[in-house]
Amino acid sequence: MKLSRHSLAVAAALAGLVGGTAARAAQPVSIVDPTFSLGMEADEKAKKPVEKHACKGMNACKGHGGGSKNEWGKNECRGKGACATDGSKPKPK
Amino acid sequence: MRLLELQRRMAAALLAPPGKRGRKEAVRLIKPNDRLSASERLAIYRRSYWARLLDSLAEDFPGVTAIAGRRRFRRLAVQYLRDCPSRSFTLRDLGAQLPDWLQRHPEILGAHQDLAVDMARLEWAHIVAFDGAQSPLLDPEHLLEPGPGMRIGLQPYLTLLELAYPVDEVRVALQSDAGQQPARRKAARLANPVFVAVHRSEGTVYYRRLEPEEFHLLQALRRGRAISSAVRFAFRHSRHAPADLPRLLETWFAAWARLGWLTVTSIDRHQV
Repeated sequence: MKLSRHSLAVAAALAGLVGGTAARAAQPVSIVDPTFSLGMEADEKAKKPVEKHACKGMNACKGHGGGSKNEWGKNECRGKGACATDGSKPKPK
Repeated sequence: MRLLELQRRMAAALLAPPGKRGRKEAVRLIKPNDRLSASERLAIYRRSYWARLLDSLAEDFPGVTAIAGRRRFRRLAVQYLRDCPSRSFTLRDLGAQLPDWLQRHPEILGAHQDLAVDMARLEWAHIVAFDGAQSPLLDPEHLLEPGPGMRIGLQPYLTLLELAYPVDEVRVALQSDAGQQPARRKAARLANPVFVAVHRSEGTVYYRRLEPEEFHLLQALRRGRAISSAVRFAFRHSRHAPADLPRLLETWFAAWARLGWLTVTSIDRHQV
């Protein structure tokens, strides 16, 4: 049987379709194959590092769980640095 | 005056575009108080309504704003909203008609019209990619017996764009460029057609460049062509050597499947 170039091309497309679908089903979406890219991230703003202590002076840390358990919901972490919004920990005393 | 008529007149007075005087109507509908006249009281709500619409549009179209300049964008936006007023419950849909509207009004942006239309198309696609619907993904069980007559669909949130200018790069660059002039200068300098897929992954919007054949193949699939027919269509004027086709097609289909772009429409194994 002689296969045409077109048949071979379509067969390759189907092979890619099956392989890609199976790979997607098997792996979490976030693990991306380096052989292809998602493209340019459209919102560079999203990449901006979170400002350390972005809530400074705004009392916005109230109820967000910063500081020790005794302080939760009481806004008593104010000024102590425990609510650091970049994930850093306060220095041990 | 009946309630319905009152409501209609009140709505008309509130939604009237900026600059249109409505003093007489305000006096008929609203009482003054000790600090504000009837028209001043109405103006508070009318200005708030228009400020919100204009801010929302500028926020959704930062690239078009940069190309037009802030003042000209504001004038353009008022004119657009007069022609295409908000008809949706959500401000998300406010700019849906902006690309077509800009296309129909070359007098507004003159030499920058084509660039602005491309940018508006990209920025509307961005909104669609951000919160457009997602159809069920193509799963391995849909492919137990794949054939050349198989038809596959594309996600509704995915937009395919053929652009005269590389506005995808310009828009990303705008995030860091403080000025507005660079948008026009950069795009004009780089003017060359590009093919872009605007899509999302895990809540983030991406602009992914496509090869021309890749773009045409996806377009053909979206229009309902079977895989075999779509391949023939996409490569009819291709610069690629025929020997390269299998490798390209395998790579592209695998990538689209991994990106979650593909959905099932129907399977007809007899149609090639």
